[in-house]
Amino acid sequence: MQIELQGISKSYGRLAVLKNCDLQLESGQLLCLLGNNGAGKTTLLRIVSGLLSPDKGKLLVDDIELSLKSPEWRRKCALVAHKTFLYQNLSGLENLRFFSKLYQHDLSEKELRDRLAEAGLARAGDKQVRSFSRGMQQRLTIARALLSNPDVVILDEPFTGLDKDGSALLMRMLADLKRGGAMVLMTSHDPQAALAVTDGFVRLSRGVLSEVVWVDGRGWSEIEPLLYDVSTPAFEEQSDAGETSRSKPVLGPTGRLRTQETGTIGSITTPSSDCLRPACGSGGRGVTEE
Amino acid sequence: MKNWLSTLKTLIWKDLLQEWRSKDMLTAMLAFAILSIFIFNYAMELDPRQRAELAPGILWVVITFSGTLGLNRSFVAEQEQGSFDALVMAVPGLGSIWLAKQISNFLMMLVLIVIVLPVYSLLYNQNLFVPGLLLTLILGAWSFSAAGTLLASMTAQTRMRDLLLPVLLFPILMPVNMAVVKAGMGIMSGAALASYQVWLTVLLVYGIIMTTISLMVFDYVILE
Amino acid sequence: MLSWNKKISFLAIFSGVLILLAFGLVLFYAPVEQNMGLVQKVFYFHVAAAWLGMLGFLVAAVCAVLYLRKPNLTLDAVAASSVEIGLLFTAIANFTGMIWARPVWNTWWTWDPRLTTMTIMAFTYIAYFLLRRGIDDPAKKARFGSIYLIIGFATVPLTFFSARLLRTIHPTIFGSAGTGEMAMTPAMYQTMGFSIFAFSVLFAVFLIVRSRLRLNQQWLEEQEALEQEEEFGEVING
Repeated sequence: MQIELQGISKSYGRLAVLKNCDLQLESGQLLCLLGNNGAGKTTLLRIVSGLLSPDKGKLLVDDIELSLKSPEWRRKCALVAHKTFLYQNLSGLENLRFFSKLYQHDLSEKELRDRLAEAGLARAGDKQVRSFSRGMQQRLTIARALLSNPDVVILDEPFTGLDKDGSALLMRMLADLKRGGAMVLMTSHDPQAALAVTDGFVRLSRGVLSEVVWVDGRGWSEIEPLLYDVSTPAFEEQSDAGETSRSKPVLGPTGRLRTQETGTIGSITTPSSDCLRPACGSGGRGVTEE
Repeated sequence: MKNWLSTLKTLIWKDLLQEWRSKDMLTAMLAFAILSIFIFNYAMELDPRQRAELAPGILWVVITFSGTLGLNRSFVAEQEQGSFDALVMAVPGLGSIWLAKQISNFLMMLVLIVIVLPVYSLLYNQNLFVPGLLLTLILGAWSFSAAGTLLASMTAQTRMRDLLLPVLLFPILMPVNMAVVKAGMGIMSGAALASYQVWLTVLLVYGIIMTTISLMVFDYVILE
Repeated sequence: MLSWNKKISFLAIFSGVLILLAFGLVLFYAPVEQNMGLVQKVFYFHVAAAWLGMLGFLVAAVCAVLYLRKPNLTLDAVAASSVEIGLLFTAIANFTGMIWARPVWNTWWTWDPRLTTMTIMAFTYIAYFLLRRGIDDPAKKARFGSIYLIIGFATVPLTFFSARLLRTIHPTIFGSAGTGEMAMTPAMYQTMGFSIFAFSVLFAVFLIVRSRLRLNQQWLEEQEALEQEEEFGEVING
């Protein structure tokens, strides 16, 4: 199976959160999505899982168009988000049983217990989720998401709250998922840790998705410069922060320039969304005439 | 169809099991209901003859006020840990999420009615176990929880939550209130069916309208 | 071509002239009703205001349905403005009704079905604004608002029907005869028709101006958010 997202855009009013994002994924692939807070990662993940409808863009599954809002698509996906989605008054086992019934999988008692054991919760399964620690809840959350044997697994910061064992466990689960032919899209604040499982990285910066940088056995030190390509404006901004502390012009949405006290007046080229891509070559954002 | 029914059953079972574990909703509803019966006694100094006439009205006020308490809690579990999202991804027809919640809330209301009726009968020495009155209350409870479940699913996602629900719910509920009280009064005074039949029709029509609209618009409540 | 602003100004002036004309007709053209006397003249504005109250809510409900079919924040702005104006005219209708009811029915308030329905409807729409205030995300505000408008509007006929089943003393002007019937002369009908027309134009002016104000307000809020976002970006990346 292969999916392709084309031209996904989403804005809240005039605030564009995602600008024309394209993404391809194949069975057995795992991609890691990087980006700062507010870059639009969660929005993108919610759109991919069918919970949020995009303003524009379409989804192709094996080259056949499928609505992102269709129940068939939603049921192919599994999402692990910031919230656990668990029912606090039900036990771990009851939570799993409930969701397996909703997916009409009807796993037997033994199979459900096996799933719990896989998540390292064999002994806690009959306790109410309320009494679980954050890490245990996260393990159960992941076990719950994988119950339906999803084709597409979407994980938003799945390592949050997991201890060392839990992280190792999750790594193992992700490797199993890939082997089983699922495609995985996950976000992480710790790309170096993700390096062990991921096939490639994409970076979302202010609504624009970069090209995929494939790992191909390289180390993080080799990948990082490719992701934070010198030509991307974000990187320029990062680099000149160290040099001088000159006053920074603030770009209004209309492209008019407002300056802070020191009053540097200069013309500014609005970084068009296309130029934010690494492929665009030099100079997205240029402050001139100092 | 078979799948749809089993989904519905699973969803309802989850609600009931949760409630059975915590008993948050029912305890609060029942305590409030019985307290209000006491308050009515002292506030109105009911004499026995007036009582028979007023019983349906008082009962309905008690039931709807304590029912609102319950409705406010009914989406807490979904809201608390965001499981709305998980349900949306798992259930094919989103309307069944509403319908399941509506049925659980309706069952809660039935439990409330089944407990409040004998308590009232006992305290005021007046037999309220009249089939007609029971039917009226059941029809009323369905309409009440139909409107309430839809509104609670929205207010649960707002800033003011519990504060907002009664303000939104009661103006919408006006025809139900009038119909339940009028039909109940007709039944308790022993009038002929023809004199209050129209009120039962109002209840039925309201229930159907509210159920249909809810099933149609619930998608917009949970899908962004 | 005239600019948008000028067109609205003209329409506003036009509606002002119409309202003045309506005043003139009410005072000098319409005859004095025999039984009720001068106070009956408030009726021309009362009926017009009540009609606009209903119209406001009808327009809002239509916008709500359209919004759910195809989300567009302009529709939401029109719906919300329409409810606001509807509420205003409902209040005017209730107020003028009270002025009329005091000498005629000898009471400020009665549990008449139309009165009750209008008041409950007003409460529904006040609740609508409370609901909107509780939500920050504009799209969600619009969605939930629309849903509430739809169920609110759907229950109005049932509320009216139920209230009517209980006794009524409100004069029935059109159609079936009831208690307190009012015999209307042609001059009275003409005055009433004109008054309703004048008020309807006024309604259109209000609706356009208020919707535009709402959209501008929204634009400004977005502008602030955008600028904040811009600054946030500077902090993160710079």
